[in-house]
Amino acid sequence: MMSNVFKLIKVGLLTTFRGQVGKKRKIQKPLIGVLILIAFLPLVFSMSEVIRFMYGQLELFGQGDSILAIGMLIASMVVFIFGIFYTIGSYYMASDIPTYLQLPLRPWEISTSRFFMVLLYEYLTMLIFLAPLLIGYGMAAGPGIGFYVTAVPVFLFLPILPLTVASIIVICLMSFAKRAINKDRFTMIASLLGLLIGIGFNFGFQTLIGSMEQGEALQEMLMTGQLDLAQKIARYFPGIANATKALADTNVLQLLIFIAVAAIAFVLFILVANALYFRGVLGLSQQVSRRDFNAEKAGGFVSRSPLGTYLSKELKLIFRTPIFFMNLVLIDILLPVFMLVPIFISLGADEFMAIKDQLMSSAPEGILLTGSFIIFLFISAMNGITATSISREGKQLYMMKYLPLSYREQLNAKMLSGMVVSLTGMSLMIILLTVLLELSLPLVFLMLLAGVNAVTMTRITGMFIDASKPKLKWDNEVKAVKQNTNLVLNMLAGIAMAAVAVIFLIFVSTSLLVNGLVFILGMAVINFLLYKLLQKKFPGMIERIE
Amino acid sequence: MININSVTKTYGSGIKAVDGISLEIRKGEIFGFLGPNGAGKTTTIKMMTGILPPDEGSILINGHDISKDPIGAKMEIGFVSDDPNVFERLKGLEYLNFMADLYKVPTEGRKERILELADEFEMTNALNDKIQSYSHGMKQKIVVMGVLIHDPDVWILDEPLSGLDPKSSYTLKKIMRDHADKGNTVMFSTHVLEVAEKVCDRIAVINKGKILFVGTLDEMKSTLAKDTSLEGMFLELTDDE
Repeated sequence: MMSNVFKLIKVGLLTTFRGQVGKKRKIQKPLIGVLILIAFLPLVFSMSEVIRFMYGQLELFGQGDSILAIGMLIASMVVFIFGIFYTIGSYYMASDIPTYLQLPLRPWEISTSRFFMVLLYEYLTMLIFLAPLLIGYGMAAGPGIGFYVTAVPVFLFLPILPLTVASIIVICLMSFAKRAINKDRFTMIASLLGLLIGIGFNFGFQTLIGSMEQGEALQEMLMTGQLDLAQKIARYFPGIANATKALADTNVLQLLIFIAVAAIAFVLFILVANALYFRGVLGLSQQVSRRDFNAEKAGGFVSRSPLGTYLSKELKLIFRTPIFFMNLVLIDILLPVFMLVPIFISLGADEFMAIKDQLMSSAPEGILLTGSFIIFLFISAMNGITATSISREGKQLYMMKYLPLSYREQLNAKMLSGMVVSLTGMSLMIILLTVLLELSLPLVFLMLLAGVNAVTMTRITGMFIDASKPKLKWDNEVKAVKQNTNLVLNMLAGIAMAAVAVIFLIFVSTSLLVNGLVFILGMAVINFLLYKLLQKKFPGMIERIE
Repeated sequence: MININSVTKTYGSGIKAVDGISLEIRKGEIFGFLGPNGAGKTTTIKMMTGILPPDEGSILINGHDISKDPIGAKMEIGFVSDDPNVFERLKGLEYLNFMADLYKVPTEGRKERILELADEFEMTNALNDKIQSYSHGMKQKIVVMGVLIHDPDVWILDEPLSGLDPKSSYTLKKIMRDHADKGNTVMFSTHVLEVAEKVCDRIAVINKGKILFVGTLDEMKSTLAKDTSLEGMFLELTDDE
């Protein structure tokens, strides 16, 4: 039975990666690998520094180890959120799924093979979060060799639980696909609902237990070190408390419990998948069209400006294509929210405030301003809306060339679509930060300006990268956005720029005035010049594509 | 009116896909562009519509040079590609409005025009559905409608009849005829010789990037001094190469 799963994984991996191995790629692949390493080193370094700093702050309450729990919680949340998107993409939307449906395979065999393929992606994602955590903690707490030995199984088993939870939720929701008329919209709603169910369930669970301890007493317990912060956070995702203990105390029993929790969840996943996976995947393949146009009542025959109509086309295609919507819109808007909210919830208001005051008192406004630039640079770099803008045209790229709209105007419309989405996500995040950190309005305004600069910068670099070498040969949308090196390259460019900003902050200046001049005025000038350059180069870049 | 002057296109591998061709496609005629697979038909059409830049030579659409005044030239053209998979997640009506906006079709009369076209191609009921849900032939129809909506002077169609049902095929041929009769230019490529025989005023035969013949069918017969079918003449022309 299991051998079928391995065969499917092998075929799945081959179809995913073989298409990219051509003559030219042979040179590019190692080059990209080296680039990735170079770009990630400063990131890992700077994030490790942040972890070390936070460990120091938490250790003041005797809660240093809880940095491990917080880190693993964030990693689990990211795995869960990506898990919802990856699962829908890989289990339901991938173009090779119909091929497997004809073969004599059981539902759980197909879904389990997809599970492991998604897991591989998740490991890569998790590496970004866990490497700095383990290094930073290692530097600050100076644990023994046992810590690093335990870290390996913890890393391998950590994403299994959140990914099974995401998979089970998705498989249950998608089993209703047959009844939906608009399958695209259904898929998107299912993914959103999946996220809400995951978060909501934990929230309910949390408030149930959390309400037992209240207010000032709690703060006092925290101050006097009677409260185990790590334990409290860990309720959010079962297993994290065990993993934290396993890591901090090199406790083998705790490690085994942690692994057992993951194993039980995985078995549950196989049972659910075997019962419900086919219902969803078959239901989704039944196209329904209404054919109900009423010429008498129909509206929408009003003319619009070419730029407006092109922008509207871009946004419609992004919002209506589930894979595009999830990867290019939801990620930007939800990732920050879902990363901040669980920490807030799991800590509870009082502890959060205590830690916040501690952090804020050691972070002057210059740091916050630059910090917001760095955060938005990072988040917007994760979003490939412009870095896949030309790639998404695919075989229809020729339309860009024969339509009577100048390349410059098409560029403006594409950039605008990217800005609209990213700025919406950014505004949500700023509002959230303003409320959570009780920031002053003038500072918020400055942070907003720095954020706009960060977003604009990654949108421009993304367009540069994609227009110079778009990935146009794809047969399903997943390949255009998720398996697109341009997105990764732009992510690296963003991370590299963020690293420069971190170095600036650490070694050059933390003053509000200097950093404001650099990250607001200076960056605005740089962005303006970069965009002028892009406008100049863009037509030639598009013309060269054959 | 389309003027193609000594146009050459060489692909990366050094093969001349189009080799110094010159053509004049006049107003008021339907011009058929014939040739076997890989002859250079699509490459020529791509250069005419601005999708590919020519390496040498120039192409004028109603006097606008496609290289020097691309927007001016493109505004004159209605182009139907051989791939009808356009913006699959737009609804039919949204696609038509998109095309109408880009080609600056005013609000006034737009609704009537769209409904008239939809009626002609029996697409009215499908206007509110996404193109994704259309059959191949319906997709073809919506693309043709997207071209007709702005009533361009010059129509360029790449294999327009493949995938159309008999009724729509008839409708399209009739619309092409009417359009040419109003003094406009219609050029289309095809593999189907019977269509060329019935519809075209003049034809060009292209093979291996070179024009082998331009003229009417009668001229072709007299040139080859044979009274066989178009198929016979076509095979003789392209086999000699």
